[in-house]
Amino acid sequence: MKELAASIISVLIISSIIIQGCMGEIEDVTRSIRDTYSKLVKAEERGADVRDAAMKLEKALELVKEAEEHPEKRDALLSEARKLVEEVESSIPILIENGERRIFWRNLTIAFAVVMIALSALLTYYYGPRIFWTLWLRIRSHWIMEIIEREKESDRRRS
Amino acid sequence: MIDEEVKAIILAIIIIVGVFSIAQMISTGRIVEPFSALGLLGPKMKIGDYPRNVLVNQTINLYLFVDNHEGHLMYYVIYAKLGNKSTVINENISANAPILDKYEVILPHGENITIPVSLRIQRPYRNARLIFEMWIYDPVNETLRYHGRWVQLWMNITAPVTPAE
Repeated sequence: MKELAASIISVLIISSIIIQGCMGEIEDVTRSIRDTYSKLVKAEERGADVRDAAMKLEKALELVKEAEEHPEKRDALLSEARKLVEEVESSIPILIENGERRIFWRNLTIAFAVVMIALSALLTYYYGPRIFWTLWLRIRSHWIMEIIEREKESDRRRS
Repeated sequence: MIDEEVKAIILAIIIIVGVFSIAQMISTGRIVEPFSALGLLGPKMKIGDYPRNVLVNQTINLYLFVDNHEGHLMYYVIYAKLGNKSTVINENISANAPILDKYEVILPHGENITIPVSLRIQRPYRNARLIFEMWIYDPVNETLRYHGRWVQLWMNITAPVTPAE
């Protein structure tokens, strides 16, 4: 009787250790996904485009959920999830670099636009009227002037 | 005199167009009113046809719609809870009810996702409230925080009728 009780207790202990281990693995992957998410948020604040990386993390979350539902495929699913998380983690410095470059060019474009507006305003102030009237004259240079009223009067006299 | 008028008109056009285009460049991607949306869809992925009466252990198929307009990447956790008439829930207090399942999604700004939900309730329940709460993972405190969005579905869960012997 004692042996049976001891064997039942040992089976229970072993199974609980195994279950704890499985849950621990899932928790570990979830924690690493959350840590990587935190890093991605910081990267996004620095101008990084995190769309593709976020999709990979979302896929990793789906794999973890699937691993919870299908314990027989757990190891394969979790290792795939871990791989995705590592991929995202390693891509973060490049994403930040690209983001900072994009922000730099954006600021440069804005500064350039402001300078161009100021410059064109100055040019307009000094050369605007001259350019305007020159163009006006050039456009109308082929015009033929006719005095219609006098022609009519002379026609009347002839008749 | 005409020169002055020409100057003024051209200057005005340049300044208006310039200020407008610079304002556009600066305000691109800026979110005035950030929000997240949570919606519950029926088994046909539409609003409607929600199950009202289900049997114990019958699979309840629904869909959750999550939309991110917060202006940045978000980590959502949606808890499915089973409450009743007396369960208190509002935009500040989350339901103190047993958790049936949880769904985690990471969404960039401007994206949405529709998650299939399959639930089973293992005991009869009258006027049960199937509650879906939106929580978010806070990267600063590294904790989950109730985001104040929730949807619910009232239903009756009945025991299957056993044939009389």
